[in-house]
Order: sequence, then structure tokens, then C-alpha cells
Amino acid sequence: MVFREDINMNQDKATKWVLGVDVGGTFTDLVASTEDGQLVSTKTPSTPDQSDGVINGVQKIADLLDISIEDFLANCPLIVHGTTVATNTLLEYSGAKVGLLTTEGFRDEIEFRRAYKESVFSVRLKAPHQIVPRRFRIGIRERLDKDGNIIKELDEQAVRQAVQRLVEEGIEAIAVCFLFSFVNPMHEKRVKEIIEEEAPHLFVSLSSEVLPQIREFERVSTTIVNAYTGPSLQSYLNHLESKLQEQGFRGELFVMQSNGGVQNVEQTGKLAAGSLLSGPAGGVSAGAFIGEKSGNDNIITVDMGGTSYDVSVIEQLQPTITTESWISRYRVALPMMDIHTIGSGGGSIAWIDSGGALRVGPQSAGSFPGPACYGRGGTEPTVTDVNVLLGYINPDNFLGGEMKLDRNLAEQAIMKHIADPLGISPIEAALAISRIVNSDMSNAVQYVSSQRGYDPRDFALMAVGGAGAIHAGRQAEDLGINTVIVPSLAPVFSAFGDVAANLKVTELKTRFEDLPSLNLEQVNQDFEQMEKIAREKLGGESIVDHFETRRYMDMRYKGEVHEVTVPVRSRTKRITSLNLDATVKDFHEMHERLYAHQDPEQTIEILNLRLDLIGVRKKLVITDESFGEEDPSLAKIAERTVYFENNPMTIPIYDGSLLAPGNLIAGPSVIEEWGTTIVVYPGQEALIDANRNCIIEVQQMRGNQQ
Amino acid sequence: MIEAQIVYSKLQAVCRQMGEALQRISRSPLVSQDRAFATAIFTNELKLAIQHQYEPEHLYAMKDSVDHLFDYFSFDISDGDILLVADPYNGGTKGQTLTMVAPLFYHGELVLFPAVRVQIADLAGEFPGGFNPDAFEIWQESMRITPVKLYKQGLLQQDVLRFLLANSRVKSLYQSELDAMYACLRYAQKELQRLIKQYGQRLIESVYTMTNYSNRRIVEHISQYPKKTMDSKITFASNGENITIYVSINTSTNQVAIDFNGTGMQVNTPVNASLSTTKAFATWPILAPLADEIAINEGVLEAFEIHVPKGSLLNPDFPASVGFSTFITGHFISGVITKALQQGNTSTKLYSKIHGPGPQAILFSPFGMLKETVPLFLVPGYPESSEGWGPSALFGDRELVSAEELEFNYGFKMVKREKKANQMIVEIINENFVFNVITIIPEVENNTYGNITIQTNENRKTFHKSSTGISIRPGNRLEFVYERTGGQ
Repeated sequence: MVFREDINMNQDKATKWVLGVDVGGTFTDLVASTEDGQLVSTKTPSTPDQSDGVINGVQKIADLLDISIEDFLANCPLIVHGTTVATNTLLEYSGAKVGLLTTEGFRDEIEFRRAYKESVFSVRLKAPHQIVPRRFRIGIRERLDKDGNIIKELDEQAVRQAVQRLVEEGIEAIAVCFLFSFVNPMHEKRVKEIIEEEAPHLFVSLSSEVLPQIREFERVSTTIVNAYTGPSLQSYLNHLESKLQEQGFRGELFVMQSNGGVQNVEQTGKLAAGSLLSGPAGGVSAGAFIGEKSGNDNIITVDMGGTSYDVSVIEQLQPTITTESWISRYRVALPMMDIHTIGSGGGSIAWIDSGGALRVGPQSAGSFPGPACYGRGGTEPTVTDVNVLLGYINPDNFLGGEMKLDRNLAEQAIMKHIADPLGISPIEAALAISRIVNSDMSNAVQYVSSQRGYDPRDFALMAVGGAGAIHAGRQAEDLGINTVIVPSLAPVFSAFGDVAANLKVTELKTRFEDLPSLNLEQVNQDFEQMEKIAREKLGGESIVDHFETRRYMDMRYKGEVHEVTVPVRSRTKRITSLNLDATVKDFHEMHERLYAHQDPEQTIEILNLRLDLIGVRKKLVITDESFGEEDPSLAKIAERTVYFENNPMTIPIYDGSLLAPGNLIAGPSVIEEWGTTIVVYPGQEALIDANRNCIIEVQQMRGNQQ
Repeated sequence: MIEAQIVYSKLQAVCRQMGEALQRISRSPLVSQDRAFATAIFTNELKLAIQHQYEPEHLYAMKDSVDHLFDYFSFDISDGDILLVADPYNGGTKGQTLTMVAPLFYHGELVLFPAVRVQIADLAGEFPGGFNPDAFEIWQESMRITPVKLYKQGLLQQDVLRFLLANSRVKSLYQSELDAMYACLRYAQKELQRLIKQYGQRLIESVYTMTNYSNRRIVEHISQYPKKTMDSKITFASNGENITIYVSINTSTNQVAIDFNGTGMQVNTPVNASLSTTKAFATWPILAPLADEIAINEGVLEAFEIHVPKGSLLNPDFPASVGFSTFITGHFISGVITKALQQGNTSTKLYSKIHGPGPQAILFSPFGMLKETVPLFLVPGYPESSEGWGPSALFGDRELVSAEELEFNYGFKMVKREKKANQMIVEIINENFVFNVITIIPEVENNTYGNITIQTNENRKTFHKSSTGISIRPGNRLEFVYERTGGQ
């Protein structure tokens, strides 16, 4: 399937393509772009070996361009890949057999989890699956103090014995995490040398390389996750790269990272924990790109899939980053796109609890049996059933008609489980479910934005995912948001983000020091060294336009707990004392904004130096099309009865692929596209912009929506 | 109901965000790491509309403190007033936990308004931090802050503030905590005004609908108990003296009656529990299976009728000390309730133990050394829960201290934190200065809830009960032993 009709199918073989490939649970999405703004995209079913789906997709792209796969790949200098291999490994607990070497006396930190429990009171909550069982966690005699001084020498003999024991146990990867190794990694590095001597085949994950920063639980957890997911990701990427090379690919394969940057295969394999959000991060990157193109610097992206609803915030075109992530019950403290997930998707099941309250999710019908309307044996009502019954989803045109839905089955499920018990009609029940799910979603958006100190009314809402644009209009009304953007590339959004992303490496060096005694010369030397390491890691010179270096300092008031990452204000590579003064001033102001107070008299501590090296790629060009007629009637394909309230309305249905830039669609109406349905609610109007994004303007009726 | 669910969820969000904002802006580790606070919203009839808490003690104390403030000020409450109270004998739990309330008026009428409870690092008393093993009256623990207005009609009462700050060893931290609490209340007021404008009468209607809902869920739950009457007793000790808590539980069609008649008389140690503390810890074992499913509101509180004899350990006469009640006595209150439920053949899965007291230490510089003495509340481990992993529910949402941060920030070198059978063992070396140490350790005859060993150059001493008068010097070692589910 091609989503853009304006490409020139008679491609010159010399045209260079950048390919983005995102492998999701159901589909593998691909977007290819040229320097002059041509775009072609397709979807293909994902396969158990993800590389098969990728090759199938590349073949489809080549077919669409009417060239051979070899010719296409030979003209691809760059493929950027969003993969769920590491994520699935952790979610399914199917990773490598991992052993842990840690400072003697601390081998249970991974179980203690700093006393964190997902639910404080639940007695049903089971202990997390131990990806490193206790018998594979070995304490090693060694100790550094907080300044990195050795106060107990590394017991090398104990390390050798431990490695031998782990090898005998069939261990495939070893994680190493010693206290204060982020200050002095000497002991960890020596252990790596010993492992290489004793068992060179093992995958080794050092905490001082994975996450060189204070707090041992966060560090050991991230290091273990890296060891657990690394071997499978490394093997998959090597396998994929070989397959692509067999088909003529000579360019560079890069992987989307959780922080929104991309890195080469070698680095990705070493730091698998950095690609756990590889897929969704592509979507957020795309959100920032579309936001910039459409003149919206502040965006909240919402992605509604089959089982979940993901929310992320982009402020001033910069996606928010967090180091607070838990994935599959393991703490991963690497900087990642801040994506908040709730269990409300198209497959979420509506039910009535013992107190008579109507609830939606977190149980999901999944894709099998799926919603009742799929006709695969599912009998419980889901959000998709509601959208079918209310007329928002066309049962005959789901996924472009590739799948037929049964409205009667949807109605029966809603009647039996919700309408009859509550003594209301199926339509009333469906409207009620719709309201609950909209409320849950808008509460999630409100939560994410206010937790970060933002007001959602200052943002535009960008809806992606199959059902995101069905609900976004209502959520915008509820949240006081004026604009909803449904990108034209919504069905392949993450792959589009892969194409648009820059290369990025983040380096961190811990440096505990009070500001008054800070040795600026040493700081400059540290930053220089960090930049050098980052350059070695980043690679990709052939595909990068130029490099940008961003320096930061993690600071806090002495004796307090709140850290602030402050960008260093410097125009050159060296930081002068004037630069530092300006940075300190920024720290006070940022502290005030985040934590409601500043104290210029208080001593400031420096905790970490951070450096982002960004390989800026030539900006993806998307050519604007000129506006045509406002009248969208050429795209009108039908009328349909839908329910926004108890009384039905007959409203126009538009074929999204026939709509043209400049078309203005008054609500209520429905726009159908392959994989996406857009509902324009009463009182709203939608404009097709110069890049064929659908921009919905929302009339504010807060608190009065039905 | 559906309309109410949706509207009420907006109110819940305001309450939760108030707490998250407090946690974000607070400078005190008690709030940002130990989460020793709660937030709530009340109706104009002083009914609890919604409450969020991160540690269990606040369940009733929030409402009881608000009731007391409104009783005290009666008709003398105006728009812009900020009311304060910290008094275990007037709705509170322990002396250093402060309740701040921001009555809100809309078109001249009292409407939904926010309140917050926060543990302050020090509010005077004999020792920094408010925990005194030798205390027999509350002034040895902290000052009593009886109802006072910090703001009158929007104006800060400088004399009140000066007085409050003058009576703390952590003046600047205290000031910042008051500022943070005030900022959160103002934020909540603004959001409540927005919701009132947006939803009007529907907002308050949603509170009553969801209050009924919470109540209905609890009633439905208790109706499934195999026995309508249950009882039990539990014995623990304080300073060598055995104390018995006796409880009988009677369930009717719409309420659980909990009667502590027969419980021992109040004692001359700080394990007495204020009435609000007792009610909270008595309620949680019954609420626990539902805690993730229902909102905490008046409907929850109304489901319980709790009788505690006056002058007993669990409802002492003024001015008995109460400082250890939330760390020690509360666990035994929950323990006796769980025991009764289990003897009543309720599901042992649903009603497994949620308690598990363990040792902790409070360290502070010798008196007179510093202008501000910030106590260090040292809880480096926890007793494992009866489910065999993680802490028990009454540990709350507290974050265990990082060994590296402890060494970096306080100069205490942790050299061990590991499991040993059913124990967690933590060893720490003081590499800093001289510190005075207070130990808080639960006691019970013929059993152990863990201990603290202090090894100095001269000797090694293991403490099995709460103590004071201990001093540690650089090089001295502390060892904490935690027993799974408090040793029982």
C-alpha cells in the first residue's frame, strides 16, 4: 500500500533512499524518503523472525518503486530500524541466562528494589520474575569509597572462580556492578578482562559503561537488563544486517534508541537496554517533526493501539525525557522518551464491577479472539465494539476492507454485559463506555502534562494509532485543547520518525563537587574526553550533515534531593567562568520552575556532567502542496447513521485518500483512511493541510460534552 | 453513576496532583523519599470527598484534624485563611505531623476545599525528630500546635510564622515545608475553582455518588465473611512491660464494628496510640484487598465504627506520649485485626498480614553543635512481607535509602545489605562525625522483631528495645537485623 500518490514511479536508479522500518506486534511499517521529499510507505505483517518481515517490506517498497530489491537496497545509504526485539525479550522473559558479579554484601539489591512495590496493599501481587536467580548472583570482595579510592583490593582469584562457576552453570551473559564504579571503573574493567580470559564467548555488561551514575539499585537493574536483552538483540541485528547485505545493501544500518536518537548496530548491541522503547520513540520523534512542520511547537502525542494508550509530551519541539522508567517490572534508569501508558486500547474490555460502576480495561481481548465484532469467538464488549455500534468505525471498511466486522455481534456483547445489567439500551451503554474511556484517556493526558508542570491547554493533541483519532476530538474538548492533529502518515508513524531522526549518543560522567571548589580546567578536560568517546561511538560520518554537541551539568542545592539537568551556556568547546555563572543562574531559575523555590545563597553541588553528541542529518524535506478548493464533496463516499448522543444522526463519510489540501470538513463527519478513522465531532471542523495532515479545530464546551 | 464516575475522576486527579506537586517541591527527604504525607479534599459539610496517602497513619487523622479546626474556629473562617494544627489529642497522630487546611469560598459560600498532612523533620521536643523512647508526656516529643491561622484572609501572620519557626531545630527546612504545603493548597484551590465553574452542582453530586459507591463496595466485601463475630488478642512489650491489645469485630449489614474493649491501659512510654492512629491501623487490614479499587472518602470511613476505651493504650488520656505509635503500636493493631479475621475463617489470601514492624534509628549531632540540627531518619532495610518479597503494606510507599547516597550525602558507609534466611541484614560504618543515636525497636516476649547492634572501639552491644543515650564516633559500626513479617 502506498500512502502518497505523488511519487514518481519511474525512479531513476541513482536516487538515494533513506529507509525507516518499524517492527510492531502486528505490522512491520516502512517509509522510504529521498532528499527531494519523495515519500513512499507500506505495511506488511510482522513475522516471528522480525528480519523476514523487514525483508518482505523492503521487497514491497521496491515493487512499489518498480525496481528490484537489490537496486533499491544498493541505493539505500541508510536504514533506520525501530525494533521490539529487546522489549519482547524483557516482556516475555526470554533473555539470556545471566550471572551477576557485585560487591560482596550487596547481591540482593535487585530483589530489594529500594522497597518498591507496584501496589502497596495488594496481597495478590506476585514477586517479579528474577531474571538473575540468587544462585547466579555472586558477591566479590572489593570496595571503593565515594571518592573512588580503593579500600579493598579486587579479589581476582574470587572473580576467576565465580566466572568458572557461572560458565559451568551455562551462563550466557555476565553483568558486573560494583559500588562507586561510576567514580572509578577500574575494578569493573579488570573483571571484564578476567572474563575475557576465562570465557571470551560471554556477553559482558559493566555498570560503569551502561549507566555510570550514583544509586546502586538503579545501576544494577539497568546493567542486568542490558545483559539479559543484549545477546538476543545483538544476534538479531547481525542476522538482519547479513540478510540485507545478501540483498545488496551496502549502507549503514542504524537502530532507533529509546532517547529518540539513532545508533549503529555495534553500539546498539552493546547497549541493548537503550533500545527498549525503540518503536514508540520513533513515533514521538515523528510527532516533533510534524509539529514543527505544522507550526505547533508544543504537542501531546496519543497513540491508541489494541491494548494500550501511550501519551508523551513534546515541549518546544523537544520530547520530554525521563530516567524513571520501569519496564516489565525492572528499573531501567537510562534516559528515555517519557511515554506514559494506560491500559485503554481498542481491545479493552468494558465490565461492571460489584459496586455497579462501569469500567473499561485493563483486561483486553487482544487480537485473538479480539473484540466481539471480529467474529472470532470473543463475547465481551470492547472499545472497538462500541465504535462499531456507534457508527464511528465502518464494519465493511476496517483496514480498508481487508477485515469485515460484525455489528450485530458487537451489539449483542454490549447488550448482554453492559446494557441489560444496567437497564439501558445498547446505544446508551455504548455511549457510556465511550465516555468512560474518553475520560480515562483525558485523565492520563492531564496527569502526564501536569506532572511535568505543563498545562494541556497550551498544547496541540496529535493522535496516531488505529483508533486514536476516533477519540481525540472528545478528549481535546475535555482537556480544553484547541487543536487536534492527525498526521497523514499516522499508520506508519514510527517508521516515519525513524527516517526523520538524528544520530545521538549521550555520555555521562559523575563528578561530585561543590561549585565553589570546581576545577573548571578539569571539567573542560572531562567534557573533551566525553566528546571523544561519543564520537567513537556515534560513527555515521557518511550520513551526517554536521555534529552538534550539547553539554549539561546535573546540579542541586547541597543537602537536597532534587537534581536539575542544566544546559551549559557556551558558544565554544571550552566553558569559561562567565559561562559557568550563566549556567548557575539558569539552575536557580529552573529550580524555581520545577520545585517552586530558589536559594541563591545556598551552596550548589555538581553531580554529573552530561554530553549529547548529535549527528544532525540533512533535514527531511516534505514538499508543501498548494491549497485547492475548500469543498470536500469530491471525497464524500457515503452517509451513515452515527450516535453522538441517544438520537442518531446521519452524517457524511469521506474517503481520506481522496481529500486534498485545503479541504475543510465540517463536523459531524467521519474520515476513513486505511488503518485510521477520524471522527470530526459536532461543533468541530477539520482542515487538510499542505502536507495532508488533518487539523481539527475544537470548539470548547468543557464539562458539557455528552 | 457514569456521569459521577467521570466528574469524580477529575476531583481525584486534583487530589493526586496536589500530592505529586508536594513531593516534587518539598526539600525534606521525609516527603520526597519517605512520602510521609497525605492530601485530601473536603466538602462544605466537612465530609471527606477524596484522600490520597502514601503512608497509612493519615486515614482518619486528616478528617479528625479538619473537624477539630472547624470546631475550634467555628464561624470565624474566611476566604484566604490557612489553618494549622499538629496535636495528637485533637485529631492528630504524632506531634510532628502537621495538618494544613485551606477553606475555599465561592460566591461567599464554603465549597470543596483542600487539606494536607505532612511530617515535619523537627517540631521541638527533647530530641530532634520528635521520637523519644523515654517520653511519658507529649511535650517530651514535640510542641503542641493547637489550631492557629497561618494566613488570615490571605495575609501571612508573621508573628505566628516567627513563633512556629522559632520552635524548630530545622528552621529553614520547616519554612520551606510550610511554603511547599501552602503552594500545593493554593494550586488545589485554583483547580477546584475551575472544576466548580465547569461542573457546578454535578461536582458535589459526584462526591456523594462515589462516597456511596465506596461504602457499598466495603459492605459487599464484609458481607462475605464466614463469621459475623470475630475476636483476637495480641501481646507486645514496651520497655519490658507486656501490653495486650484485645479486639472484637462484629459485622452487620452495613458496617464493621471494631471494639478494643479489654485492651491494656495506657503506659508511660511512647507506644500509646492516639485515637486517629488506632482507627487508621485498625481499618487498613480490612480495606487492604479493596485499596486499589475504591477511592478513600467518607464512604470508607463510615463503613467502620470503632470503639476504643478512654485511658487505654489505644486512646490515652492527655498528655500521654504517643511518638512511637505509628512505627510500633500501629503494626500490632493491624496484627490483631488480621489475626481476628483469620480466626474468623476469612480468606487467608485476601487477609494476609499487612504489618511488619522493624528497627530504625534516628541520628543527630550532639546538642549545641549546629545552628540547625537536621535529624537523619535511618531505615536502611525492611522486614520482608508475609508474601515473601518486598516490605509489608504498612511500610507505605517509602523508598529504601541507596548505599551510595548514604555514603555520599551523610558519610555512612554501608558494607552489607543482604538476605540471610528470613532476615535482612544491614551493616553501616560511621565515617563522619560524632552522632547521638535513638533506636526504635519493637519488642515482644519470646520473639524478635529485629535488633540494632552498635560496635564501638570498646564494646559491641545489641539493642532489642528502643533506647536513647547512645553515641557513636567515626569508625563505629551499626548493624540492623530485620525479621520477615516482624518475626511472627
